[in-house]
Amino acid sequence: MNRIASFFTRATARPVVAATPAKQTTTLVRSYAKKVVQQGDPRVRMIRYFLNHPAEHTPRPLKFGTLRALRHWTIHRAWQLFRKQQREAREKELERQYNKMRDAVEALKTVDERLYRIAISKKEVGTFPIELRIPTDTPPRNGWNAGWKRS
Amino acid sequence: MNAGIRSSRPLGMLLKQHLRQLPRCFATSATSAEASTDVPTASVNPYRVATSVVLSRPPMLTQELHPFEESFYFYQRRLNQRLALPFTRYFYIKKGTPADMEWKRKQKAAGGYTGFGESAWKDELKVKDNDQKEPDFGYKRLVKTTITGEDENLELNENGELPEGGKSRFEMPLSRITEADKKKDYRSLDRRGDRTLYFLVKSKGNAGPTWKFPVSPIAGRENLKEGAIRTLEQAAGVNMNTWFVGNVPIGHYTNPFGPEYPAPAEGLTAEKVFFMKARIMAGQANLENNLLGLEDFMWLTKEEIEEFAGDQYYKAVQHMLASQ
Repeated sequence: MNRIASFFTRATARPVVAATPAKQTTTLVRSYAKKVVQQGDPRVRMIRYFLNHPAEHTPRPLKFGTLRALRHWTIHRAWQLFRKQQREAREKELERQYNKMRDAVEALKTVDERLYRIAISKKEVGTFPIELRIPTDTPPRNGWNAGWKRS
Repeated sequence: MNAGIRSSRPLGMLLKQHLRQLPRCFATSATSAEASTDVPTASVNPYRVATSVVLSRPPMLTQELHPFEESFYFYQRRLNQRLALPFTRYFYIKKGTPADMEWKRKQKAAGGYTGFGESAWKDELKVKDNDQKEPDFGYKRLVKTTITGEDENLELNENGELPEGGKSRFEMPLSRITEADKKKDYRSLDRRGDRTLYFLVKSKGNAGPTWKFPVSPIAGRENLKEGAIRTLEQAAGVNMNTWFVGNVPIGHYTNPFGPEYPAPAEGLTAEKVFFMKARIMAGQANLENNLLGLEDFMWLTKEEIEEFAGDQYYKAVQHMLASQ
């Protein structure tokens, strides 16, 4: 209750301070001796201040010495090589899986024409199940749902 | 008419035209030869078609990072710290408040490296500096440095610890290595969360490496997918939530009939096994009252299949399995 009250009193007090005409005082007091009165909303003042005075050392270009630059280049090349190896391994695996599938379908055609026709038809392929979950960093709290029963 | 046109052309053109026609000649002769040999055999099929289920559990956990990836990401993080604008602390946090103290404590616990000032260049890890590796995903650091009002409301025992079953706001994330991993429980689906697990079964009374994917011959007029669904139900019961991926077989395997594996009928030389892919989403296998004469099952990774299934079978199936 107190907090709310103080908030309102402050809120009403602020415009009064802001509205005090500065010119009246200048006639009485010398201007260079005048104390600078902080005016306006302190939050707005803070935003203005930090926009105009960003943190120290702001423009910090990353400067590398010769050996540092060489090291950076080496790390970059190693990373590219690593990515390439991973990508190629993945592509080769997919290719092997595709080849197995194609060979199976070819073999099926020579063995049973009816089964082949049904296999390559796009009928009743079904939809993607929403129950499949994506990988997470840690396992679920209750573990695998082994108690699932077909209703 | 054609002869007249051809005769007016040079010899090279003639040869070219002739060559272009050649494949067509071969094609016609080849099809006629195939037809003459295939027609009689098509009536008596020497193969028995069987369908097999490659039931797999996809990875539950994200992949473990390669050590090189880990150090590269750390290097990139430090470079970013050196390049990014420093945090304007007093804009967000008032000096001397609890929030300020918390922020300072978190900065200290995070290792104390700043990407600016005198020591900005010292962005490498020192020897034995393992602060950056957090197996608990930063949980302990977070709990230690974060102020919550609820600490006072916790019902602690006399040792100042949370009693069993007591609740805290921050729940410790579970370890990636589960109980099933420690016990080497091959029947559990909680094991090897970062890998694809495959469902393999063992038949009764067979010696040697007999672990295989469940398999049974096609019955009646069913197609491969229907056969695979039936095979799985006969082998492991209905209490598994599965999804069969497409109608196309993902691989095949020829199993010749012989003295060890006698042919069920006259004229059959081999069994052609076609593998159908399926995913499990919930449930567990149950071999009670199975119709295929199975005695045991396991959930195995690709490398473990090589170990349990034997060389010959593994070579037939290895390229259709995922390495992750």
